[in-house]
Amino acid sequence: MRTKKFKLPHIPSGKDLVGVLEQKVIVVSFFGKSPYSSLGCKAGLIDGFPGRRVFHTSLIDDPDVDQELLCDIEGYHDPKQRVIYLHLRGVFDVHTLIKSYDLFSKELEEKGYLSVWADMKYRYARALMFLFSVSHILLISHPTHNFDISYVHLFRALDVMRQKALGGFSELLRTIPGLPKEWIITCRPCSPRVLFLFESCPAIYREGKIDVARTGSGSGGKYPSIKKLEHALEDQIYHILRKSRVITNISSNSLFAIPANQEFVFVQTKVDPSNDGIAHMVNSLVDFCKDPNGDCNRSNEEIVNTFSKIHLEVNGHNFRSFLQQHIDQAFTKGFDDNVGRHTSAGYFEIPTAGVWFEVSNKAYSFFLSSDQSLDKDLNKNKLQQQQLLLSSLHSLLDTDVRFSEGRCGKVLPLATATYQENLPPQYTRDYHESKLAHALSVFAVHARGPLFDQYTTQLEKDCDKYWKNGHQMCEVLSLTGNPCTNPLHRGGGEGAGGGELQGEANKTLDDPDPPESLDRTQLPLKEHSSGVRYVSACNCGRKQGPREDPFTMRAANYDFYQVLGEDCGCNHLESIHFPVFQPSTQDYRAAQLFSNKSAAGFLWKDGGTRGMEGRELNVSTPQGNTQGFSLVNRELCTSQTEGTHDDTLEITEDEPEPRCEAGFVSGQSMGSDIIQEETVSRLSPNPPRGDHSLPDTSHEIIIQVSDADSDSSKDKSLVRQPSTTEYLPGMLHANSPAGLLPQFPSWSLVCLGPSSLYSHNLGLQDQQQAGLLGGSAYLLPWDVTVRLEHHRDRGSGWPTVGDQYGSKGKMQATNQHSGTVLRGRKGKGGNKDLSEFVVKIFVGVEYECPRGHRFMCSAPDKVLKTTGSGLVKDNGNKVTSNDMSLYFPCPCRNAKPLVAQLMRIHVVTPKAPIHVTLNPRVQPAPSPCPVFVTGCEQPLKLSQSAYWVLRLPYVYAGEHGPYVAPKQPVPLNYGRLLAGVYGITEVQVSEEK
Amino acid sequence: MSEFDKVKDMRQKKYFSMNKDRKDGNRRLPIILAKPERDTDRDKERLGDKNMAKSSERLQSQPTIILRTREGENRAVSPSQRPATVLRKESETQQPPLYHLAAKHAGGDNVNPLALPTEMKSSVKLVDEAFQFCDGALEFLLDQNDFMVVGCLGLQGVGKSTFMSLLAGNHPDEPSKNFYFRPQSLEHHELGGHCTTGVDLLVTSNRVILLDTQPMLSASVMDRLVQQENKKFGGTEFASTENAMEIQSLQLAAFLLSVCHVVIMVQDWFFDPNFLRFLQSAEMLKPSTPTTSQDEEIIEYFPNVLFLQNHATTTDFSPSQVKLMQSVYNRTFLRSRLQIQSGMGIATGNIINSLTPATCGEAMNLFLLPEIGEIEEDGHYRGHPGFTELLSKLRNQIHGVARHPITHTILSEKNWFHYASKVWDGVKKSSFFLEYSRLLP
Repeated sequence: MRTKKFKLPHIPSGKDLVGVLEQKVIVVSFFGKSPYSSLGCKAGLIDGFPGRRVFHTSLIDDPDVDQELLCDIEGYHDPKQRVIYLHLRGVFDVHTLIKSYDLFSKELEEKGYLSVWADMKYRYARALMFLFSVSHILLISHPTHNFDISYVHLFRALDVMRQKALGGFSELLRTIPGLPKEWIITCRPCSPRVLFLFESCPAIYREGKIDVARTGSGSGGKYPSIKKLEHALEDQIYHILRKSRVITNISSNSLFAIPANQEFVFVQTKVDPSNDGIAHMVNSLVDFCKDPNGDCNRSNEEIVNTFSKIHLEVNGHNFRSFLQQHIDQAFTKGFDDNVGRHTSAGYFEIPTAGVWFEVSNKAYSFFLSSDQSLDKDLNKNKLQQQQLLLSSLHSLLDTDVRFSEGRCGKVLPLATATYQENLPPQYTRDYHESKLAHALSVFAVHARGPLFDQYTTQLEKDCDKYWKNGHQMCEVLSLTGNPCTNPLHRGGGEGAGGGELQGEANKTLDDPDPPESLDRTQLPLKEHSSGVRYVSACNCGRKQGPREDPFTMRAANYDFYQVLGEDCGCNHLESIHFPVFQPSTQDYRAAQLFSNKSAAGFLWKDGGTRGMEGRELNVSTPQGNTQGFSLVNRELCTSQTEGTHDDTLEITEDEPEPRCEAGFVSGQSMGSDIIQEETVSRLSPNPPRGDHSLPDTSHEIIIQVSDADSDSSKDKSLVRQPSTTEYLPGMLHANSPAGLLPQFPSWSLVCLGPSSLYSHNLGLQDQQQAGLLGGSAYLLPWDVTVRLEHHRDRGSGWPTVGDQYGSKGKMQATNQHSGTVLRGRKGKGGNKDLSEFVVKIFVGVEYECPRGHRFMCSAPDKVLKTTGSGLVKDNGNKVTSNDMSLYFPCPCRNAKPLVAQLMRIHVVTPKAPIHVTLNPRVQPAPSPCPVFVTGCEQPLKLSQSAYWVLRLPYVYAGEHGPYVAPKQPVPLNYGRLLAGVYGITEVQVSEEK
Repeated sequence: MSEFDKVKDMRQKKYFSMNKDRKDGNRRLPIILAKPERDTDRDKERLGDKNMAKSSERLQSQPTIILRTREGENRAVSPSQRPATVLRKESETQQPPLYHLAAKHAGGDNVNPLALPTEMKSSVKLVDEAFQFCDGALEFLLDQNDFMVVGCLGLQGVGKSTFMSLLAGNHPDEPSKNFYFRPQSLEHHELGGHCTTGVDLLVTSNRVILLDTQPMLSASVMDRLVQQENKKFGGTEFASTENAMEIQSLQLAAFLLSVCHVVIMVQDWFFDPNFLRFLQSAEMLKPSTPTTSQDEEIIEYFPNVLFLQNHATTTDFSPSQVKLMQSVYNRTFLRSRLQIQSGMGIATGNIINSLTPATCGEAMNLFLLPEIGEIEEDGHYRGHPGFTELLSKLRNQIHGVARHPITHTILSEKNWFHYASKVWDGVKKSSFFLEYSRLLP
């Protein structure tokens, strides 16, 4: 009678098996580890028992297992032997394990092997629970010849679970009719016996080819010695299992028993050639080819069965007899593996095959079935119980993950505490991040294992939450670059100010966190404060006062000086007012500039400077008919620093008026939205007049521009007519769109009084100018030779001393220096009627440091310092003819000097028929930073014989935000007051005008 | 220190006596020349005939080795007599000064720094059976920085000691009693026992420090623990013997992972998932390097790990199988920080022609060694160029691997030794292992 291999759960189909199901059977199960080469088959040794292969039937077998359980239990009923063999294939079989890797690839990547293996082991353990509750004999297969002690932990876990599962399982067994009561109580047919099978042995015991060579030396000792190993292993296993209390004196109390007086270890001494399939096949072929006749004495059968060698040996050491004795005992006496005085034998039941199948199916559903809906016998409560059971089994086996959990859980509060340690009430993002990094490193030192990442995220989240929960600092940068130290709040920056820095804006942009933006509306309304205080002098410089770190342009450049000026009284001094926005309506607003920020910023650079040239020319030659002169003038000077495009501009100037206008207009419209187009039109030799097809975004500007276009040649004042509905955000600079003015002046120019206020012998007294450093409190004398040219009819043609071009200024300076040169020149061109005289002007370029220290510079790179006797040796030539550094290290301290900023220009004008003019232009940072101007069309004329003080802006801000003053000393040419500030014009001209 | 003085004295004496000898007579000269007899004479020399020993530097040093090894062991054993924890702490605090002294001493006192180090005939204990650190190995170590530490981990009977001996330079055909690390004998086989206990150390002539360990998770070691009912490891510290066993193995592995440049994982079948689990647990439990300074960012050290498949069959050498193995190891160690791709490996393309990154995927540190002494049958297919050739190639690969600095300061051999003893202390004291053992089922 031939039966087939079946797969559990299996419901016998009856018909041809009627007799078989009535048969009493012993159940023998195989499980254990197996190498990849054996394809997960551990039952090779019994495969031959029925006279043919049952479990391992094909060489190219590639068995699959259940994807959920990762296990597969095959069975075979051998009616002749009255034995049911079960064979568990699972993750302990490397072949199956590797296949499961594909299912778990994501987990392997995310959680790591430790937790994946624990999960796999758990599934295997469930299958073992099943096997231990339905088998009489279990065989653990080892691929080596050493007992694998990892089973000890597994057995202990299984034992714990068995105890826990007793209740639920016996209830389930109760539903099977006719099952013996004791079976129901103990939940198993007997306390199973476990045998150990070792699939390989040390090389010296190996049978086979090597053995042939060795037999000569004495084969007699072979079996005794393998027995010796077996017995040694038996002792080892027994000791270990006893010590770890896996087996106890009373077999019914433990998971399994091992026989006291019978062999329970078998070491395989034969080599299964299929373990090394390739070599075996190839070499058999080679052997055959070498000696085809040699194989004739091997029977056909043998050749075919090379791979399925059936173990039917009759010699002393074979597995069949090893196993058979246990089976025989089961059929005769049953197992009684109690040790000691316990006489009562354990329960032993040999069920009929039919009953066993029924029980095994129940057990299968109890331990292995994951699909609960199929199981109608279990109600919800029991289901929960089962779930509980299984999860506790899982956690028992999940040592590594639990360790990691415990470890990380322990360290997490520690790391959080590290983060919160010594935290100020509010702090910046940088500080938060550095603290978090510190906490993470503390965490990393002590935390371990697969859950590390999970807890790291948790820690990050916690700390972030803590920070965001009322500990976040506003961090809006002040205009001097200090963060606001208030808790996160709204408000505090005027829309125009540019004080709401990019940092904050970017941050909100970066942070796609919707809750944060929601929170924002609920934040308290508050002014910014960085807590930093500076000392600054007022407009005129007579009084110093503390100032808060400004967050708005208005506070920085206007409000502070107004307040302090009130105190000092300099508000009421004679002053020159700079053009500011005059609202004509109530709903005025800031002009919208540069919808396309980045492109504009870029194009600005080259387009802008050209535009500036155009305007500069216009401003300096308001009459139009002086162009010829200025051209000559420039040619005379042969300026070398001028770029080629400057020359082209000169040439265009030579041409009729409109061309020049075009340059100017484009300079204006540069500021409005159409940069690209405008640049092109400006560069083309004949710019089409009416083609200023401006985009519809800013209508006011269009009107301005077209106005300027239409009647510019007649009335310049119309061109300059500023908007009265829109003001300029930020400050005026050379590239600001024309027609827009700022809301408030960032500059101030006041007259302290008559020139007699300054005595060059005494210098500036402290009551006059507060906070000036000793030795530096002097103005510089500057002698200027003035030459009057009378032959020009309306000639306002005073060469501007120190023009905007550095080279020219220098030229002028040399002229002034050496009278000979001047005279020589006069001699050459001596046809003109010239009158020549020298005027003495006192100038002072004053710097102010954040602490209120003030000092003068005598050269771009030198602080004014009197000699020991209190004399000033320098003159004003260097400061008037060169670019002056905007930022200069303050001499108040040597190590890490503070950066002082050029804040005032002092001018004491002479009593002569001339006006000293000022045309300050500041580039506070390297290009592409724009050049900031006062907004006046012409250089500012100062009255004669007076002490004037020009106060420069405290903060420079363009449309894209402020150019924050550097904290560290920077190269002297970082920010510059461009040369060409000072000029001289004839008095009449200005009066005429 | 006294030992070094002795050596110095002896060296000085030697030069004197050499001169004297020449004057005195020729009586000893034949002995100097009688080099072949050296080995047979060794026993005689050990008796302390110092005049004889002086005849050659090598000979002269040999008796001292033996003496010192013994001394070292004694010294190590004495504190191991179950000192109270307080005492242990003291000894720990004493350690740094000791280390400084040793370093200075070596620098100042070494009369002839160019003198060849004494050649080791067999391994010495680094960690003994009772899990105490031994000082015996220190004398074989030099004050130079160009060295490499190779450790070895594996289950019982996979061939660790044999392989380490072969790596040290033993020839596979030599009788196993000549091996540097003693492999299992027939008796061990018969009793299913293990041979190596603790950690053995051997320094080769090209300054490779080899560490051979007792088997991991070994039934035989555990059996011995059970038999001894040794209070040192049993019940008290870890809940049970099997937990003690697991923890003991983890400690050894964690120790090796901390102090070696290369750790070789020897397996004799493909593969025990539990062993890989064990390895990763050890990686997890490895205490963070004790010498990291406070402010610096902690850079944990992870050694190169080489998977050595011992007793590999012909099938294992096929490209598809190697590819499979590599992919399995790669996926298993996906989340591990152990360096498993550092240029060692069978599939780098220059070991066996058929095993290249093209056929087997990106090469990783996986090497296969066949059975030693496989009988070669004429015309039979083996799939590999033979054990000896593979071994020498593997040896070259291991020697050539990039050595990551174990600590953030450069260590000399002697410094390494002190560092190792510190790590061992740290491993034994680490609370991680105790915590872990509580969670074992």
